[in-house]
Amino acid sequence: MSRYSNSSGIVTWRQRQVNGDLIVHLLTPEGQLRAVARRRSRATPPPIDLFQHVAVQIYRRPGEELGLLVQAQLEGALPTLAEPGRYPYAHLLTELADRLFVQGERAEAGYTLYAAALRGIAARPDARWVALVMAFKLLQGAGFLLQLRCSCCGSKEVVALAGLEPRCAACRGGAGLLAEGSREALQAMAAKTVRQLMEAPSQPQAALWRFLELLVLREVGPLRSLQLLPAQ
Amino acid sequence: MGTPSSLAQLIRELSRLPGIGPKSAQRLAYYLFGQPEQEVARLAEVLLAAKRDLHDCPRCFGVTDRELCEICSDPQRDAAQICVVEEPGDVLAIERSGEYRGLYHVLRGVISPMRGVGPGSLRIAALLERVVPGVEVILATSTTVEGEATSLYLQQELVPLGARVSRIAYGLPVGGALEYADEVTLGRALAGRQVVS
Repeated sequence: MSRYSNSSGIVTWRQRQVNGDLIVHLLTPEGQLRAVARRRSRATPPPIDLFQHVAVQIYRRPGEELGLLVQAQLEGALPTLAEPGRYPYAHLLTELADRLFVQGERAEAGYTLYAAALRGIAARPDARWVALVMAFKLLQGAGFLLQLRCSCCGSKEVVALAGLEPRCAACRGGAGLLAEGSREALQAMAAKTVRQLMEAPSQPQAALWRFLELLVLREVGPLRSLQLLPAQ
Repeated sequence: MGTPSSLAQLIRELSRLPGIGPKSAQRLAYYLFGQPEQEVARLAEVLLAAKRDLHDCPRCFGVTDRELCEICSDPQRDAAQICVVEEPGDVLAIERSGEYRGLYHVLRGVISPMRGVGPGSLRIAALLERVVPGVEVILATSTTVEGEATSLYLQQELVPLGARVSRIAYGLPVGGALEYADEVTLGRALAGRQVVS
């Protein structure tokens, strides 16, 4: 088997080492790819930047997890992602996708969703709403579905949340009531397509963000970028 | 024959330094072993003195062994220009160019939410305190997406303070071949072209 392989994906992590080498994570349709780009002359830095779509050639010895990035060619970039109103959301989705789709059968769908999410954040005026929708869709794509039945009795009449556990009026106990419209908004998030959600943003978004935070914490663990989102 | 324990320890410690692998560490260890004792003692003293004396400049956050760094305390420098860079090493790089006579401000990083670095983690508040109306702030953060995002964030914060804000130019490196430049670099080089006649 050849030690060289070609791949194409989006840069999701980039860590400059003190010696000048660059550790890179790419999200590809086959899952996450990790490689090291050796230090090169300053005149020709490798065209590898966060959120860029690149085609790469990797050299990897059998059994090695970290390949050597031999060549890289830029295939696409979204410069508007650096804008203050978009940048924190691109980070959120990138950190989430990098955790969710390391490998496995869902990686291709995850890659497609993630690429669409970055394009949406880069182009649409309401990057915050795009990020919210696409974060839920990425979680759904990874198999973490929204549960909107009472976790005690299975009733569909959810009125409260105990942490992430939906509760009906009878089983509510001391759980906090959902804000008006939240249940419908959560249902819409689970059932509607991305296109439908983009055409008609749901309210109240604050409740959806809170629910997303809880869902991410439970299924993925803490995300640094989620803690640093601008307050709305 | 086994490696003497003190030599093995020296190799181990040297190989902990960034960019030094086990073989380089071994070569360095044998080199040091071959040096006169006073040379090795001098190196050790220099290392300790650097660690003991160096600290952040309280004004620009560069590295200094004085109360204020040489640049901040130099009355010949142009106080109407502040060049904002990411790391102390960037100051040395710009100084080597010989093209700049203003002051500096070192952010100590770039905004990167994924790494847990928000604007509050950087020396941005101290920069805003230094800026008075009319001062030119030259944003010399790197042209990576993190550097760009930090630069755009700073523009947002600086403009209301009445500062003149500029960004270092984008484009082709001197000596670089057009053929090997990526399309983003080329696009920016064309967008930022200068009239020569």
